[in-house]
Amino acid sequence: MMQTITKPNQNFKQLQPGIAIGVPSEKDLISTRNEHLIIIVGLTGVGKTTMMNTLTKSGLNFTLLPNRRTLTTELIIPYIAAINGNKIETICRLERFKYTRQYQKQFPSGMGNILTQLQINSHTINYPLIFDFLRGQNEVNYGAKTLKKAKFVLLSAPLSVRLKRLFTRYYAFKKSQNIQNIQ
Amino acid sequence: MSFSALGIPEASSLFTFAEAQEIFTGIKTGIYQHTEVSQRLKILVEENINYDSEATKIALQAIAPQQTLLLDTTKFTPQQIAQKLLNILDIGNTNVINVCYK
Repeated sequence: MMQTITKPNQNFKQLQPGIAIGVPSEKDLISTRNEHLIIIVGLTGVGKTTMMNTLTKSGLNFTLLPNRRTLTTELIIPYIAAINGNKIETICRLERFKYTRQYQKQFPSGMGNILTQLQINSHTINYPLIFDFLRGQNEVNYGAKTLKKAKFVLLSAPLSVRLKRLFTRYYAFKKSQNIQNIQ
Repeated sequence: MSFSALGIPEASSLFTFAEAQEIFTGIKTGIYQHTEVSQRLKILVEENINYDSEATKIALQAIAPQQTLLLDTTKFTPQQIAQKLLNILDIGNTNVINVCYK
C-alpha cells in the first residue's frame, strides 16, 4: 500500500517524464523504495550545485529526480497553503522555511517522506538516479531506514565558507544579469 | 558594526571573531552590500535553526555507515568529489572535467 504523501487522496501527478507521485498510479511506474538511489545531503553553500554541474559535465548519463526546491514548490507549499487557507503568492526563500517547518510538524520525515513516495518508470529513465537533496536528522533517518539500497553523499563546509559561496553565487548572478541587460 | 546592526543577532554565535570581522570589513570596504549580507545570513541562520548538520552526520553514520560518503568540500576539488561519487557507483573511469568551487 502506498503511504500517503501529503494527504490520503493525493492525486496522481506527473512531476517530470518518467517520474510521478500519488494515486492511482500508472502502469510501468515503480516505487523508488527499492531503487539504487544516490541521495545528496547538505545545507546551503556546501557545494551541491557545483558537484552536480561537475557530474553533468563528466558525461555521466544519470537522472536527476525532481529536486528539493521543485518538490517543495509542487507539493509542500500548496498543501500547507491549503491548510492555512492562504493564496500562494511569490514565496521568498526564508518564507519557504515556514512552510517546510509546518509540513515537518505533520510529517517529521519531511522531504524524506516525499522522496520515498516518488514513482519512476524504469524503462524510460537513465540510471543512476540522483536526488538533490535531503537535510536534517529526521529526513536522513527516515531515508536511510526506508530506502535500503540508497547511498548517501553528505557534503559539508564551514559556515563562513558557505556564506562566501553564497556571495560568489549572488554576484556571479548579478554580473550575468548586467551582461544580459547590456546585450 | 555588529550582527545585531545587520538585524541578525543570532549570527554572532555562529562565527568566530575573525570570521565576523572579515564579513564586517567586506561590508565597510564595499566588497559586499549590507542588504545582501543580511539576506544571506538570515538564510543560513534559519537553516541552522531548522537543521542540525552534526546530528545529521551522526545519524547517517549510525544507520547506514556502509552507504554513506562524507565529504568536506573544502578538502577536495569538485573533480575529486565527483570522482568519489562515481567510485561508489562503480563507474570510476568516467571522465571528470575541471570545475572550481567558488
